[in-house]
Amino acid sequence: MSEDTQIVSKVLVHECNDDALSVLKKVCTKHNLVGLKVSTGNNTIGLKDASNEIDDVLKSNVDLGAIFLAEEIDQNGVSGTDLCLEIHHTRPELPIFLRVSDKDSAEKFPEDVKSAITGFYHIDGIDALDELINSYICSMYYPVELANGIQDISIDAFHNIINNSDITCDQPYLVKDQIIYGELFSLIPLESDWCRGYMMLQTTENEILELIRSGRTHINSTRPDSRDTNSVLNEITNMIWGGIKSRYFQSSDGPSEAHRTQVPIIVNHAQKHISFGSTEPQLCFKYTLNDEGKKYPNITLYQRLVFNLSWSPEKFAESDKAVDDFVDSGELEMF
Amino acid sequence: MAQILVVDDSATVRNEVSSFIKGHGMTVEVAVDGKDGLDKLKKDPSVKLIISDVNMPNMDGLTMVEKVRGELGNATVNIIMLTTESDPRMKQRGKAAGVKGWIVKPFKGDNVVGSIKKLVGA
Repeated sequence: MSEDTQIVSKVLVHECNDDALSVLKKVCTKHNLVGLKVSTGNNTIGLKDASNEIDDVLKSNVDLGAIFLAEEIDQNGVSGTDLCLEIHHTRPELPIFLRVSDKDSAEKFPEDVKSAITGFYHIDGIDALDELINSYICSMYYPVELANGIQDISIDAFHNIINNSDITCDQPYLVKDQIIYGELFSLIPLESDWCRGYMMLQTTENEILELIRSGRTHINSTRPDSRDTNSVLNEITNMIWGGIKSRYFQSSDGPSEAHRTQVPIIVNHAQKHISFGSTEPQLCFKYTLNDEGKKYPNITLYQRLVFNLSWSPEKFAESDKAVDDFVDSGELEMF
Repeated sequence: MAQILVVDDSATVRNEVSSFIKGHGMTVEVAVDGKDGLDKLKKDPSVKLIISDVNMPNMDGLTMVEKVRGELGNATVNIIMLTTESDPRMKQRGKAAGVKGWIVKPFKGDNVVGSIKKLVGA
């Protein structure tokens, strides 16, 4: 990962006003937001289709940080207020920012619309939009060094468990989404005196089965089953967790018993949602594992870091000793 | 009768380590956690070396070591921990319990095969 790597966030934009779009582009650049534009405003998709298209994006594996809508009705009869209620019902964790045409018009909306909208902004009041973004998308500061380190540790772990693979990682990004990708995920606590939360790895069972069948793991099975897939994900998770612990938690005494609070984690299989109680943005990574021989399909793994219980990045520091230990992994230290 | 007992809850690691050991002409038995490891050692006290993970369900590796030395009174079997843990406090606990050596995962067989053979007397 290069030193100038930034942490980004993907946002969905449904905006038909060119001036507003131009302003949004500048704002996105300023805040490291990657804007994904919904095409409904520029083609012949009707109201129902516009809603469906956004719904399709929400149901896809695009992890989002927020949604930008506009008050005005577009050429297809779709307005942000039409859409916000539906989106908020489906994905209440996603912040929705609505551009209003009149600075004072926010008050005129019905209560249900106002409660679905996270914040209103006007094209002439971009400071307000900056504040909204800082409050709702970039509200948690994640040190880039931490993102770099976790990515390196994870790629190392993948290489140790999975043979003959080229591994790439997208830019790390922040998400407000709480969707579960695939059917298979692992969850392991991350505990130190400066952070408390979880690391989650998500993938599909079929992808791991393919990986085992291709002979790139240490599981020797021609007919692998779910126990085998669990074992592979278990060991990848364990290796990454150990790497993170060695590199970032070793100088820490861990949280005191008095600070060992917990909150329930809710998994909704019907909606494919997992909630950690917090709505703060999660730090995410998307890894793609390519077979060096190019005989087998790519495998995607999503990694999420959710510091829902405690987060004090000002205390974040790498342990020099731990970095030494990390380099020496695999050697036998005799007592 | 196995020379080496590999204790790890991960089938991936059990397969990797035991295949490597067998490939170097040594005999191996596997256990899925500390409790299973203890049972296997009771059944076959002639094991020369235990290679064990630390973080495992039911019984962790260091508790198993303490029970091997304490409950079973087995002071002769050599024990090496193979783990993602590198915390000095954890190593200190292992040393106090009677652990002979510590490997931070990943397992790089070629780096440690000489020591393993020496500990087994092979």
